[in-house]
Amino acid sequence: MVEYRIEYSKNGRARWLSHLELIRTFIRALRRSGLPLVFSQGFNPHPRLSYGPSLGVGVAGLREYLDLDLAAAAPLPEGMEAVGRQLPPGLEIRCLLELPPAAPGIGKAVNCAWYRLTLPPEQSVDAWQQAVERLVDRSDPLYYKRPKDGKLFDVRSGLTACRLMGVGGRSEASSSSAAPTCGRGSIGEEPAFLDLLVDFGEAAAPLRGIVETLLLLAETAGCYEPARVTRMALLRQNGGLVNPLGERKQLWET
Amino acid sequence: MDQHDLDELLKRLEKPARYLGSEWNAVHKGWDQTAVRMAFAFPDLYEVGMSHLGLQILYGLVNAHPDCLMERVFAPAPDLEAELRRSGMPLFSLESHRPLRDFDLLGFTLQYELTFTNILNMIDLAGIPLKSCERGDDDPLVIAGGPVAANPEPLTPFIDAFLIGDGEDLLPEVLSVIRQAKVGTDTPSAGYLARRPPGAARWSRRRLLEQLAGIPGVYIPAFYCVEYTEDGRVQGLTALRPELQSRVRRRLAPDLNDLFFPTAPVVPLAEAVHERGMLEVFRGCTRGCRFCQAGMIYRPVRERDSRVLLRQAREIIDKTGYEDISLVSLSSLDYSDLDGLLPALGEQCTLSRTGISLPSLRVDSFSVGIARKLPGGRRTSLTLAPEAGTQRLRDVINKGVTEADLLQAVSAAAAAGWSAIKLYFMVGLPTETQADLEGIGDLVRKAQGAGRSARGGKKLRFSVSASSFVPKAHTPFQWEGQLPRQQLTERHAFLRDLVKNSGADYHWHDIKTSFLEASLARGDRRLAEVLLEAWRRGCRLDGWTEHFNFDLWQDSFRAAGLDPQFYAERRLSYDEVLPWDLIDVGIDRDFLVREHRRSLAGETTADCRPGACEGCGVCPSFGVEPRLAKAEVPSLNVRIHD
Repeated sequence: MVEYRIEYSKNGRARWLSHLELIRTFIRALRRSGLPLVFSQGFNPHPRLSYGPSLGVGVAGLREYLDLDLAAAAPLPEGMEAVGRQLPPGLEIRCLLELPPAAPGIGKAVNCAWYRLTLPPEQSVDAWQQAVERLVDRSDPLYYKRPKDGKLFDVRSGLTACRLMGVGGRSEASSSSAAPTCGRGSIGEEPAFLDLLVDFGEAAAPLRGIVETLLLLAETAGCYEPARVTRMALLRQNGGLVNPLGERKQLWET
Repeated sequence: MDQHDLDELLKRLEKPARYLGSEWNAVHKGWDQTAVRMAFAFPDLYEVGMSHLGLQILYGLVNAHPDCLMERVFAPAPDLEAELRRSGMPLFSLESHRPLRDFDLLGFTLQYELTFTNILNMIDLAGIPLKSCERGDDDPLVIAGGPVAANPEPLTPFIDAFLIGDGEDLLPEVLSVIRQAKVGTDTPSAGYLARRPPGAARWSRRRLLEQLAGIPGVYIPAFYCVEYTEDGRVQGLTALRPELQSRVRRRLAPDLNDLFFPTAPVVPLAEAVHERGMLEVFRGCTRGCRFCQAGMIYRPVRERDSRVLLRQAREIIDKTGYEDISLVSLSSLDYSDLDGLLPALGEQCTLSRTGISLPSLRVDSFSVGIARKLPGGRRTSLTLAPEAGTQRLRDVINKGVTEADLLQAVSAAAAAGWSAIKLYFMVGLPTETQADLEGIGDLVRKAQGAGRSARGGKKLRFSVSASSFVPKAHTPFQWEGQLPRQQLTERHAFLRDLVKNSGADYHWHDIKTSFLEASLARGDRRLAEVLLEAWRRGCRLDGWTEHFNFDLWQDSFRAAGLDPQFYAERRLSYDEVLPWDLIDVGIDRDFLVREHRRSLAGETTADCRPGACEGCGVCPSFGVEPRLAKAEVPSLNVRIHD
């Protein structure tokens, strides 16, 4: 038995799939691909797959992951091609990697995610700048109450770094081990965006909470729109940053 | 709609995956390269429609034609409808997200009476005039077909043409006339706009309907007139044009082996009710259950060859990746060549890790034994449908099942390891008495006992589901009335207590829903006014308990000056004209009368599959014969009635 990791993107129309819909789509694509899948035991055998952290409906992901077991080694480019051919529009295989024996599964290989929020053109980048600074400079906790269960999250916990990129802005960065880093840069004529590096974990605030709090701080009308969010990368932060393919990355490096 | 508009819409919807149109095997054909463009409209939510075989058949069939294109549209969920009404955006197709108005025709499938308001709603959301007589030459043609078209009368003002019977040959003939109407020729070639002969004008709507009326199986309701007696019965049905037949004969495809079958069906993205590959083993059923409309209107039985089925199964598995394949028919284990089919199919499915499922299981130990051996066959729960609680009543409905059959089936299931059994019954069947309801209680207790002893004293979980009898057109029970609601409620309550006392669960189908179904199923044209009133009052998705609003329906009947009980509960007499007499499904009326009389006398009628012809009239009237995959029926399959 050989373990593989698939790196794929979920974009275009496929961004509207829920996690469950995505899983079923992948299972059927893999079944069609002819790869020698390994099935679980029992009356209802299903292929042995494990998925990275789920993406909300509407959120795109540029580098998402899926681990699978195959009964025999598959030649890599052909295997990648075999699965890629079977995916509906919006899902693309970027890379297929054979995992070394005893490599940590995708669940353990990531502990943080880099999200990019594209700002609506009608919103002021300066207001966002102000909101981000207020959030970073604050010394006491700032709570977000999750609607579904009323659980409270400190919005800053889990937010390790952020940067705002706007039209003709100045570049600014602060960095300390305790507080999130925050920078602002210029990106020419592209729409402005906010990059956030968010930890997973019990205490970490959900992305919706972070964005909605920022909107409040920016004193801007608007709401969290999943379709404005792209998950740029899934990473493991442990001193430096490493992606699930084992490559070392700089902060905000694609 | 461009990508940006679509995203703006999708972000407001609860389940955007319903409307993406980018499913695996979805067909995106060049709009400008096809002459005839049809939208297949399923008048219920995506999750229901995507489980429907008829959609997949016609979608594959039309899109296989180089000159035609078919896209899908489903009834919008309430959130999409609200967005469309708020923004004024018209209802669109899934593949190209174009307004339905841009298509040449819109085709509804009629599977269930309680989807009628969805049809009105979809036509309205498309921006097409609701009534056929209000549509102009530039409006799409609105057609409909499917089992409920066996009595299409309540829908007649809204539908331009009904297609009666098997669609595989009929729909292409209709599309060919539409091509002619648009381009003045019926010979396909590329680039249709360029080839319209100079001076050849698009036909008027009137001329198009006249041409369509000439196709056997096409029913243009505007060409027929219905008159009523003073007390509201149908007095007469008259064809308004001399060249028309007085009745429209159903179309029948005699040999399923020759028909197109979709082996690359669209695989849903949003979760559907049933997600499995469908293998149509045969069409038609000969058991002759007297309440069953499908058993009458799809006659005779037409089986596919096992080699054809095996090839289709392999293709379906390869092209969909489905985890399960389902043997679809009205009673799949009646298939005459199980020996030729199941071992080879089982092997194919084991190799590809595909389960085989049987949607309905015949009540006997033979069937249970087979189901047990199928790959993935041992599910948690097994469903059996004895339908009635005593032998007397089962003989009345001609359900050829005995108590011994049921108990042996339960024992076999328990011995094979099933731990839960579902039993289906019908309440309010003609001639039903207290003793028949008590009989259900007895049967459940005996089944529990049989199950327990087969499992060495361990109890099985039993649940009983009961629906209410709904008389349907073209069946021997078409003259019977539905039991009044009050009585149905009392009988269900009695049965519930009885069943719960013996430790089984009891579920019943909503009585008001069944009452409405009965009043529409035997309805006439005047009910169109009720549909219109109900739709205007906001009735939508009436088949869903959470959306069904009976009060609005009662208001609508009142506003239209019609009585739902007149339609649902009235016992019809043999000599009155029936609203659906315009539709000729090929069954002799005399056969239905004879069957009804035999039923009341408690006499059974044999299955014609083993060769005993009971004279329903279908074969001689179409000049066909039942088609069995294997002429010699295995002895296990022969059912001998007392």
